[in-house]
Amino acid sequence: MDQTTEKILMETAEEVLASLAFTFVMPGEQETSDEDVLKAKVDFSGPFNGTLIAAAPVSLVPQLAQNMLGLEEEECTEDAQHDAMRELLNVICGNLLPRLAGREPVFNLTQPNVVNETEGETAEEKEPENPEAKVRLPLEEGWLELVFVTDRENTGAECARDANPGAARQGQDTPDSL
Amino acid sequence: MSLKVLVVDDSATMRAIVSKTLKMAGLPLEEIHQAANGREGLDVLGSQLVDLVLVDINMPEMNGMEMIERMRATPEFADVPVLVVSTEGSETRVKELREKGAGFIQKPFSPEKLKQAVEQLIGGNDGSNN
Repeated sequence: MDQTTEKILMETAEEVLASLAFTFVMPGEQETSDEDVLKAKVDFSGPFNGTLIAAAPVSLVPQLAQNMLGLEEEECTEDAQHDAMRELLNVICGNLLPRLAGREPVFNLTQPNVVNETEGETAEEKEPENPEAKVRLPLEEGWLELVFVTDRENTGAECARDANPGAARQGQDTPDSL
Repeated sequence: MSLKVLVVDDSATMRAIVSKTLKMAGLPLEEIHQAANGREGLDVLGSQLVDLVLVDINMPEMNGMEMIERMRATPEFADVPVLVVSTEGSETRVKELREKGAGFIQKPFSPEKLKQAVEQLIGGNDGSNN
């Protein structure tokens, strides 16, 4: 896995969660439980191709949907929860790709879809073996995990530096003012 | 001036968020119509007078780009301002939208940012915030 891509993925997801779902990343790590998870995935094509998969405990999803939609708990149907999860993933992916590839290239995203919500994944739905990045964001009432899979050969720092020279410089010791 | 707005997005969540954000932005709204894809959006335009269209790009049946092209080719809708609301914010895409006379705002966005984009668009600018 690529640490630079993971850092960018983490920052992007944190920003989108805060602005779209009013949900904030907590310090430390959230303990893993055996709770069922809801997974969604979106595929993309462009200068490189791949998939972004999001997973969250089933108990967290209503909270995300309520925050995004401004709904009361009793108004938050399963359809609304799934739609909120798909849209959250869509926005994270749409904001992530330009940060990795630059603002010029056009990526086409497929319609995000919910993969499964309980146990019993098929072989195709199992987690990819060699993701470029995998992060888990600890949240107040759960966690959000993101797995980013691509077919690109040059990953991480080199691509991020080409895509966003200013951001890449921030990781160096030399101050921006020089 | 009070605005009649059409929000076109296949995600009910995003239609609700955009509608809520329009209200929070303090824009003078009269009506907000909704449609789930470009084809439904054109149907609404055929039956309702609309001052502004907010449209996603990536939708099934008819995407936002095709909807804008059809609007521009239809005299009754050709001059209706369009603000594209999308996650896809590449410079190439934004340039393409400008050439079609549409503005652009990338998801997610604040009420202030949306208000600014709408006011720029209705005021005659392209509404792009990028």
